[in-house]
Amino acid sequence: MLQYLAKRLLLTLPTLLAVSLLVFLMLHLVPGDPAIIFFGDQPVTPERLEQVRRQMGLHRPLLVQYLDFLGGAMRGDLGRSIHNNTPVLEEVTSRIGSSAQLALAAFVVAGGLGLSLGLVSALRRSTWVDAAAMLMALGGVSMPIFWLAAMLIFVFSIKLGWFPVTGFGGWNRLVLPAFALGFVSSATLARLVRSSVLEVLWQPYVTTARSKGLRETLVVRRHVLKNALIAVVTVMGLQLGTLLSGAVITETVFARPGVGKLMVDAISAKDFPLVQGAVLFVALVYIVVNLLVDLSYAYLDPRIRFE
Amino acid sequence: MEHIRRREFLRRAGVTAGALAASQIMPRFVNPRAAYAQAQATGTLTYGMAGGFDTLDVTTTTFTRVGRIGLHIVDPLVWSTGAGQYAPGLATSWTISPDATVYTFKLREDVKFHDGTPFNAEAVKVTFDRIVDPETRAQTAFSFIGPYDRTEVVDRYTVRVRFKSGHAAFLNGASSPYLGIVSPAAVQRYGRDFGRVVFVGTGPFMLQSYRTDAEVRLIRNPNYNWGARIFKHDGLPYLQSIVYRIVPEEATRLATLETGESLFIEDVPVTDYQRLKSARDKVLLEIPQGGSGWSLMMNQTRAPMNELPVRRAVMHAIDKEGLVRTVWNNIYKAACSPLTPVMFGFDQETCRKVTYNPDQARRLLEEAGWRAGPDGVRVKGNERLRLDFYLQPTPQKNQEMAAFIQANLRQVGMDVTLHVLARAGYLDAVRQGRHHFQYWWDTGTDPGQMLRILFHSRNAGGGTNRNNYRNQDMDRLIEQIEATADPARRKELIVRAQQKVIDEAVMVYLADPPSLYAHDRSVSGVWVDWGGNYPYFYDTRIQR
Repeated sequence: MLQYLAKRLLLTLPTLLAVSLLVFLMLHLVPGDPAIIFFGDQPVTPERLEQVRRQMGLHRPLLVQYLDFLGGAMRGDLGRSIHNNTPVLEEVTSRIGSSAQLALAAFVVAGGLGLSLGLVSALRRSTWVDAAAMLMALGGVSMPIFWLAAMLIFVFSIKLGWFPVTGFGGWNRLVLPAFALGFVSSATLARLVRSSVLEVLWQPYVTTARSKGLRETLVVRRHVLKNALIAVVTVMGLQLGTLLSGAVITETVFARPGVGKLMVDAISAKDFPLVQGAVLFVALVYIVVNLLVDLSYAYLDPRIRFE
Repeated sequence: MEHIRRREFLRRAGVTAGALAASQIMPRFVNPRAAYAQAQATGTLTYGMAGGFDTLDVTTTTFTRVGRIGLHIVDPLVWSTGAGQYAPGLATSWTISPDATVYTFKLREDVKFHDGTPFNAEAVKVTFDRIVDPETRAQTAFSFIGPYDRTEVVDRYTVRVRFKSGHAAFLNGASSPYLGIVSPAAVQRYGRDFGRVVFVGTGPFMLQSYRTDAEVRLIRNPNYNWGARIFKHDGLPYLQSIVYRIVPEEATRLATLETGESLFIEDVPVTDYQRLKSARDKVLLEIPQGGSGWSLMMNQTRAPMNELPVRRAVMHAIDKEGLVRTVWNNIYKAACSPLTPVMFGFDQETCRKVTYNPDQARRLLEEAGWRAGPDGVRVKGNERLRLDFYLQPTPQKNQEMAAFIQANLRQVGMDVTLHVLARAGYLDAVRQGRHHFQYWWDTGTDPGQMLRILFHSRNAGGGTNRNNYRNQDMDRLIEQIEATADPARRKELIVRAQQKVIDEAVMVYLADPPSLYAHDRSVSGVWVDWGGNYPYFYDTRIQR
């Protein structure tokens, strides 16, 4: 087990390297000169433009720029934003808290809603309960998140006055964004849980368990759910990654700072070091989450052993 | 039995715990409004800001929003009370040489920075020298300070600023937040962190905390008693603190105003104009913007935009009244000139010169040899009258206006292709001159600066003059405007410049916007500069 863990952790290095190279190349292949974007619609002389280009370090050959970045990254220095000179690490870490808070809360909502809706509709298959649960899931899948967010604000902030509209800090500022984000991901999950559970329900071992006289709740908990969860956990893992790094719309509507928004802003400003740093962070998140997912397989299915 | 008992126990425990939790939580559920009320009572103004920014340092920023915040932290040397009118700020009096190259300021002697160091002539020199230092990478401040040469400390409280050539607009620059005086000691001490973590001036409010992309908290300066004469008092500000919160989404920002979470918001969308105007508990501030309204640049280096009749035809073919009605609900006004009507030297005559007249446009094109082709698009020789319009996808109104213009131009036989590109691609295209059309919109309060940005040949070829209009007479005219301090003479020159660019059909002026802010009725005493850019809360009170 430990050996397996060490191997997996070691494998993250080439992954991160590949990601950084890919991002670097893509950023430089897409048109747009960061110095020109920096000046935007402000008047500027060609000399000044050249000067800023030098300050940004863009006059150096591409390979040198990349190696410099790599060298710094090895030492834990991700460089500074070329636009406002802030250390990249600081820019990213200052937003991790807010992003993580939202992602975890949304994850709980998604997991709770998705699992219970999916399970209930599978167990009460072809009844009105099933239809209602799946209708809700359909709503979640097809509802644009900004619309849901706007409706939540309208009802719970403006009309009822229960929660603040925006911001971070304080759990009551977290409820609306977490619900909006979580509800949308819960829908996919619910549908997946339903189909996985249905599949397992007809397996011989479930029939065996029932015929041995086990109470239905135990049958579901020990035999059905545990076996149905493998596919579900994989998807949940991927969702957690997305929730952590891709909640741009939710972050924008509820005015929360976050890694997703940081990354989008950095890309549109072509702030090379900042994009690199943020993408590396996101890649790391995915790697870690994937690892956790893989480890959870062993718990869910004792036949899986990591040797 | 055992099972049932356990379940029963769990159920009871659950209910108790739930009730307990609810009793703890419910008051907080209803809390938000009470919390806002409490904040108001303690004199905290919450401000919903439309977006983030680069730094808090007014010297290096490129964002108007930083000016909005910064004006509370730094004091300007002078205040602008109307187009071309100035009142004392940190400077008590000043003299200007006739050629506008030398400005001498007498400074207040009773002013201290937030870090306790005294404000004096040396601080002015350090602030201005820092603006032109290439390492600083100043932009907005850099263009405001113009042909800066050097600053001389005459004595402790007298300072002389010299320019390489006439700079009649310097007082206008000095009245902006961007040339506000910063603490030399703090600049020295914090280096790269200045503006990022700390920012120190002499203003009525001090920076308390800054969370990137989230909020800026200002707290009142307990020593402030040098309020400028143009305000209603000169002692401590009435507000305890100001919290600027970044709320990029329009609808959300408006929602924060409705719940009381924000007491003041900027960039009110035109779609909510009527509703806010008629709301009993809200106040809508509508200030005609200084600068240059929404307009269309026509790139003269790309055929057929080099043909005067084609540019004239475009000018007459666009129905501006229809445009402001359809796209802007008549809240914006049809524009006439490169300067908005509130600007010093705005020429009323321009409105009579550029009228909507599609027949005239067709006639001009006919005479220039552009004949209607089989599909309605005009042709000359083998060339079709096909024009490329480059624009950015946001704000949404960009695209609405473009569609309107496209339809208008089609009426007279021009085929316009819209290229909607994100910022990077857009700037690449227009700086390289691949466009026929692109938008322009700019705020500012100095006509000379506006005209230079739009029409001076030094800004052509990849700069801001993306008309790529090069005309020596125009260059000279702009330079004269910049070097003329005498108001009457200056006005005359500015009028001549406006008429010249209209006669030569350099640009098409579309719509003049107002700045729209809204606040809760409990807020009073908000001052906004005449250009509409900087709401200032020194005189502001919150009364419930």
